[in-house]
Amino acid sequence: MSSISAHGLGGADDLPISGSLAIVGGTAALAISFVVLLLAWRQPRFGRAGHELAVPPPIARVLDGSWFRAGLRVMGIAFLAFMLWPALLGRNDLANPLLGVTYAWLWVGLVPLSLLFGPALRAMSPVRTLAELLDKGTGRSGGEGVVPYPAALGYWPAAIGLLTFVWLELISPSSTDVGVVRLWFAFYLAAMLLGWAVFGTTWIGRADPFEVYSTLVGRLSLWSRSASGRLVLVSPLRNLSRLRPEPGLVAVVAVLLGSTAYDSWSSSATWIRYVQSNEVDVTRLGTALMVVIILVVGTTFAVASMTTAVDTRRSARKELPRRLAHSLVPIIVGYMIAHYLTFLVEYGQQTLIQMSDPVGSGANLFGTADMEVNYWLSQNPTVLASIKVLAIVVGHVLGVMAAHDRAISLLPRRHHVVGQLALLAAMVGYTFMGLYLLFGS
Amino acid sequence: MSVRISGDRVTPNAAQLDLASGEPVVFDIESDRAGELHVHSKPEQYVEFGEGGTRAEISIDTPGSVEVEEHDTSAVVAILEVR
Repeated sequence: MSSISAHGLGGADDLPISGSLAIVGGTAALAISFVVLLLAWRQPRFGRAGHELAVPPPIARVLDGSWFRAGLRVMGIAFLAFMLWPALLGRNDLANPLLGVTYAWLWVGLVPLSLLFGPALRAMSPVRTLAELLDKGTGRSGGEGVVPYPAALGYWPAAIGLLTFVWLELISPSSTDVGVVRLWFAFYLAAMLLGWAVFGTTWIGRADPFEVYSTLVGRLSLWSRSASGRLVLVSPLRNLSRLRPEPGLVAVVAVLLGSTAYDSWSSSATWIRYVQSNEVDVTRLGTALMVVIILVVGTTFAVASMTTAVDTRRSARKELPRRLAHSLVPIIVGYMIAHYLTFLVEYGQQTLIQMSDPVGSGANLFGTADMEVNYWLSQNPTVLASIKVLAIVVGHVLGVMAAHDRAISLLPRRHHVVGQLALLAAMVGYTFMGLYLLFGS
Repeated sequence: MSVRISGDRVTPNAAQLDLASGEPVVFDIESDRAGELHVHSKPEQYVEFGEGGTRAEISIDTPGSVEVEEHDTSAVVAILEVR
């Protein structure tokens, strides 16, 4: 008999949402919003300049000032230094806060953090701080490397880094083994520093899975830069449209979306029963399944966005997927909220409790050791289910808006409607699957 | 709810059970070895059993989809849907 051994963290799963109303409602919301957009939104809006609110100079001076920047970097480094303690000397059990910090605070927490504050990890990441200090130490100007970063690589290194992380979290039988998590971070640090040595600091912004993810989500925040580099506030969708289309962007969003779908599926009773009643290698089967889901997400998106007539003066056909990929970011955020909200809130509290006693010596460093986890969210399943459906539907409606605005700026006028149908179908498919998985399959 | 354990063989295979929050569930465990069931509720609960027959009652207050896992084999014997 094969076994499922991913039950380390976080206790119970959320209840499946009841009633097929959510599926019908969600899918209908998407179709209706598309029709409204077609009728009312005939000119691209987000690509135009302006519609920015300058952050008042005194505030901008503080936020862009070296003291504030340095303060955030010091916080990042201090946090890393603290985490080395449980990582290296802590006990190898579920009470070690390294696990909760990695999977709840960092991986899930970076989503709300970046939604509120923009590219937050870029500002705090100890790896970036290290790279910039090394730049200073080695006298590299402007963070240049030995060779310039090849533009064709784009976000591919980050996509691979993200894949290794979600594999560790969702599939590896050792996901809750402190030594294995520590090893993953050691490889991560080595990859970041090697890349830095060759390509310079540009590498970090293209290869660090956490920074790339955070910067991507940060595009849905109010914080942006004007063409001249001033700190400005803009609407989230306008901010999102400023994401530069680069190679590998579709791969990054496909990994994020596909792995979340896999996570829902792999805790279903159907999957658990199948794995337990067959002599299968669950790690291999899970890996294969997750890769297939990611490929399906990436391929359907790429094919759907290319299935249109193209005005080659404006854009080459093969560039369409990456030019539309930003529209998947709100969808990803919707799913992350729907899937991991209770994990972040409840396991996040558990982690805060554990942080007071990092090596299991009975310490109470921050006075949180005796706190009790507040399960209010789980105890109010109707509120929770509503938040989840709302997150998914709002995410998809925003995604449709972002895609529509970009499509009408790229497609020839007479293909504005027909040219978008395939992409709409793909997005309706994602909504349907997402809600179906949340229902418990 | 009846659970049979013989070495590495654990039954049932992820049986589903609907419960109301706070409603007691009784585990009737027949085993040829000692072990522990992990009830992944919030907070977690543990049911220890020895060789032979063990009867244990638990109740779960926080709604959720709760897996009951035999610790040594990591086999999921039940998924309790607590509403």
